[in-house]
Amino acid sequence: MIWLAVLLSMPFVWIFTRHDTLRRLAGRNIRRRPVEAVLVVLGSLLGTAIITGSLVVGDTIDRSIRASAYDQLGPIDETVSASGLEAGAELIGRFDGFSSPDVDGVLPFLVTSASVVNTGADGGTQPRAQLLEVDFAAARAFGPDEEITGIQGDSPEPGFAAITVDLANKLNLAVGDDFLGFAFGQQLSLSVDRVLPRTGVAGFWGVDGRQQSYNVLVAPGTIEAMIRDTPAADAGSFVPPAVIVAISNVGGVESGVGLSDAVVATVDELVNPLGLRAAPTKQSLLEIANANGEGLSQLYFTVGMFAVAAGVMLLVNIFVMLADERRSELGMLRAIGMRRRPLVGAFALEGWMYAVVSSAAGAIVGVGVGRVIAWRADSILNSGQETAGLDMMFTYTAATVWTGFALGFLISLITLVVTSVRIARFNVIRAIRDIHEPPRARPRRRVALMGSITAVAGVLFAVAGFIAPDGYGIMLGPSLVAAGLAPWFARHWPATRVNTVAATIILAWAVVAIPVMGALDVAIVIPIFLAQGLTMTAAAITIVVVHQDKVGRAVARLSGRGLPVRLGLAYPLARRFRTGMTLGMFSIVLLTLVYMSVLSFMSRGQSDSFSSNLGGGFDIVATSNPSNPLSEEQLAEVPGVDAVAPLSYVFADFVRGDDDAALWPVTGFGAELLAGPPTLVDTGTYATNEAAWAAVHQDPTLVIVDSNFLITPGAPGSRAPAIGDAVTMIDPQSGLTRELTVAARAEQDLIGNGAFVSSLALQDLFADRATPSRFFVSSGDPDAAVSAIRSTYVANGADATTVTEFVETLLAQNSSFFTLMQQFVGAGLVVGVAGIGVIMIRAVRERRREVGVLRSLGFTSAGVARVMVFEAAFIAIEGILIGVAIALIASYGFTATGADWAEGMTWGVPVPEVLLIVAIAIGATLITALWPAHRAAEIQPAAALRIAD
Amino acid sequence: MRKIYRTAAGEVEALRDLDLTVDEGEFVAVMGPSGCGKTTLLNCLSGLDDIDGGRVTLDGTCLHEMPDSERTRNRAATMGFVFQAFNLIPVFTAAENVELPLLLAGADDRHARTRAVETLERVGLGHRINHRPPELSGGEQQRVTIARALAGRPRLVWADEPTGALDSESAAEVMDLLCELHATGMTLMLVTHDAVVGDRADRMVRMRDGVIVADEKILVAAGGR
Repeated sequence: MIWLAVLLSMPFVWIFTRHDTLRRLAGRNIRRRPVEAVLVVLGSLLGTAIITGSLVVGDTIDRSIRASAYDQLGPIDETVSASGLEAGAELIGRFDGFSSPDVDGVLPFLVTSASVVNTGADGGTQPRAQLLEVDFAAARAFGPDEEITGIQGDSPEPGFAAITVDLANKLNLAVGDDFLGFAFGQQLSLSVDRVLPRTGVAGFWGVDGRQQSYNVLVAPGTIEAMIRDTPAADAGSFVPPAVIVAISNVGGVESGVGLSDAVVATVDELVNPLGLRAAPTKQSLLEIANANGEGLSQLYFTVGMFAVAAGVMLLVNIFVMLADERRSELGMLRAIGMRRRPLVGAFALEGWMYAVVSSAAGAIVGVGVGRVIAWRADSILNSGQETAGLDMMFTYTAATVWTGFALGFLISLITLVVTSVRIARFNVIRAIRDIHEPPRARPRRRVALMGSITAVAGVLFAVAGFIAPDGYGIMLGPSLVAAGLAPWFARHWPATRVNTVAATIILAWAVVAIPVMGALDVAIVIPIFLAQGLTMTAAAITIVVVHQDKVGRAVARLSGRGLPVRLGLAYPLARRFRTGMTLGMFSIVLLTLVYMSVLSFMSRGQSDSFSSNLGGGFDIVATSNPSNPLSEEQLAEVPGVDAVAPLSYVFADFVRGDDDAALWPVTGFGAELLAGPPTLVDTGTYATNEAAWAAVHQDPTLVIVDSNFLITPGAPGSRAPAIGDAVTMIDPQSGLTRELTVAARAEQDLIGNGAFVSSLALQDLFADRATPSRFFVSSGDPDAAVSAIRSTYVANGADATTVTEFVETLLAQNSSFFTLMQQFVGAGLVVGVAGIGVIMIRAVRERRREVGVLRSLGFTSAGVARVMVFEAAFIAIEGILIGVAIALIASYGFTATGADWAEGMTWGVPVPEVLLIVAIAIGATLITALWPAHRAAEIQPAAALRIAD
Repeated sequence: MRKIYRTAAGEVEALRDLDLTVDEGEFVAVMGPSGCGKTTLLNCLSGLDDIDGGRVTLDGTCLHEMPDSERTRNRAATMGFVFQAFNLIPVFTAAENVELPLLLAGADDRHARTRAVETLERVGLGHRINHRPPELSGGEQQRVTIARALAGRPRLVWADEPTGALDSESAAEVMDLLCELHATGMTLMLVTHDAVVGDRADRMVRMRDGVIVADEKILVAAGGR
């Protein structure tokens, strides 16, 4: 990318170094207008800053998730897991004498989930912790570097434990403090003898998806002793400990991953006879990191591109105005013999200088933008459930900054070259006399021909889009046909009518295309919305610009046809291209801001229906430590608890079609849930909600999934399996599979249930690992019941949350994300407002003579200022109204997509929020317009006329 | 009256102790070489520009003692301007340009438009009312300028080189028009360096280096000037 930027700069460097006159011309024009030069650079650097910022966000998210893989796993590349001590002993035995040229370490250890309580005055409870038993000496020797194992010293003595820093912080534990651990119905009194980092073996965390490691590393034999002491009656009612054999590949923390496939194949040969298999743990985490990083980076990049589009329009406008101002100068240069190419070069050279400076500054500012977003995202991501949290580790690479610079620079360069070429096509005499080129009565034959080619390409694109099916083809194909045919029709019919019809068709199709894609089951990737937004804006602006005189007449009539109004309307109505570009800047930014505001509002509005659908007849989700689970009876004894439905809860690999396996939670339910099951959004072939749940309960080959099932995080890019689709459920430990058929569609899974199958189906595959430790609870007073469950069963690691709290926390988090994106795209508003500023400043200069005439005719200085402010306000308000209107139409279309992720959304408008956005945009515009207006008012008529004459 | 321009290179005294009285209904031509201060005189007399000494009185009221807003209103009510470079608003049609001073004086839309069309017809541009300045020839643009200056029926018209950008035929047409309007009683002060144009005035003021060097009545011969 950077080399392309360098390559495309070569002609400018050549002009700069070899053409003294052109360089002086460009340089002096910049020096002559330093304030404008600064505004141009500021306006265009924002585009680069936004691009770089979104790339830096991608780097940061990627690094943050990779931290789990690199820092938390350290030397661990693969793992093999066996459930229970006996199976574990067999597994360890298989590795006796094992060696492989790709492996530099094998380390067995034992883990089990536990709950931990600090009994001190400032203590706390951690229901989800892990007891980890390992030979410290062996662990320190595991892999290439002792440092990355996280293990320090010798194994703890009985009664002592090394804890990870996350647990120490959470429970306010320090070396020497005593605490209690609970598992297998036993209580363990321990004393902290050291605090270890969240790294390598010490940081290994297999309990759930959270980033923190709440590990308690205990003396060898501790876990075995606890199981031994468990009454026989209780054995079998808890999930047994897991023996893990960790494998370190040859190479460093990062490079060793490359050998993962080979090592997994080798180890599988060793452990498959035991019904076990090796998992490429680090590789899988890295794949998830990549998917998440790319998804979020794409999201911010796409949203940022709206602001960049506004920046491009600002650049075009700036150069068109620059050319207007220099028409006579350029005409004279042509008249005295300068050919078109060097003329374009001279003009573009100035722009190139702006582009270099603004892109370089923009890339640097972009790093700061990325940092702010990462900081805000960190607090948002960690505001919800801890299992879904992510510590943002701000980082960026030099390559990212260069890419941001190159992208911003190339966009600026292409814009200015295209604009310069267009500008250079003027009539010399008209240019010298400063007469604007008259609009052509009908398009040139050449334009009509190019339009026809575009139309044909559009047909092919559309057909391919519908056959594939592909969202881009469906969205853009028909629009290209309409846009391409317009010049051809305009040669035979009035251009106004033809352009209106074509733009209306494009606008209507852009709205309809999304529901059409939903109906056709097309994956709608985020950039489709960018295409939709840009298409709609272009079409709407075309319609408005074509009918600008009617708009102007209406505004003049409504405002009493005062002279300031008429004068303020005169230029926007006369300079339609310029007005169109400015309208585009405003409308595209407002479209994005309002669209997100509406989506956020609709999302928040789903709270009640989500809570009701997800909970069904139950109000609370209670969890407990799988190694010391609560029983249904224990929960039923809690005051206020009316009913309890025990659930099995495990993570399984799921595969559909040819896709890679994805680790996903799966909940097994029993007959108790049928008393009040969650409300399905699609019951498939079953007549009622209850019938669907009953069928899945009875048939172990059926599964209920939600609309996010198996969808890559970060983007609504793919679709969940449809009703009737087959998916394969795999036990990650043994590799055993079960074929399942999707029977019904559940509400969006905001509480982490994953897929629903019958508990029998789950126990059939996962055996004692599917022991129920999770519960749906109904209560007349859910909040009181939650407190009671938490306080009564600390030893069982009991935790409880109301379904409503789950939903509200997640929706609040979503809302915060929308706000963050609005703030991100808000930079586009700065572009728009800066654009208005630049345009008004240039307008004052351009119209110095007219202001002088008006003043000589008796127009007061205050009147001149009013005209300028009215002009800015008219353009801004028109652009804002177009943007808001498109956003409302598009968001309405969004709810009608039929897409899974719009399921259950009811269209609504957050009126106060939209009004606030509009008020900020108008207010900022008016404030920006005040200074140029003041400058215009200060113009001395005699001086203006003297310069003019 | 004195007028000094201050530039980075130093001060330039454009008008030096200049004294001039113009009677109502007079047609005064100001002539002199380029840079002698003709346009500056006109700008200062009309109140478009500030002065550095002396007084400009109109009907006994000192123009430069008025606040800017009052001076502006006074201009709108009593004066009309014709410039060498026409100085029409390019995005307005001929009619819209002409009705501007009427609207500034508070006329309603309908009256302003009727009056603008009448005035354009009077200057021979009835067929061009909806054309914009770039679509008109130089002579036509200057006639629009004159129509704009006259539309508000001002008592005083300032014309700065009104024929300077025109060919001889167009220039003659424009001068015929100005003379015709002056004949209705309007005071006309015209700056020119064209002797043919200057000869059509009642009174000739000659300037050099910011001072009046001659001020003479032009005698009207029997049957003509």
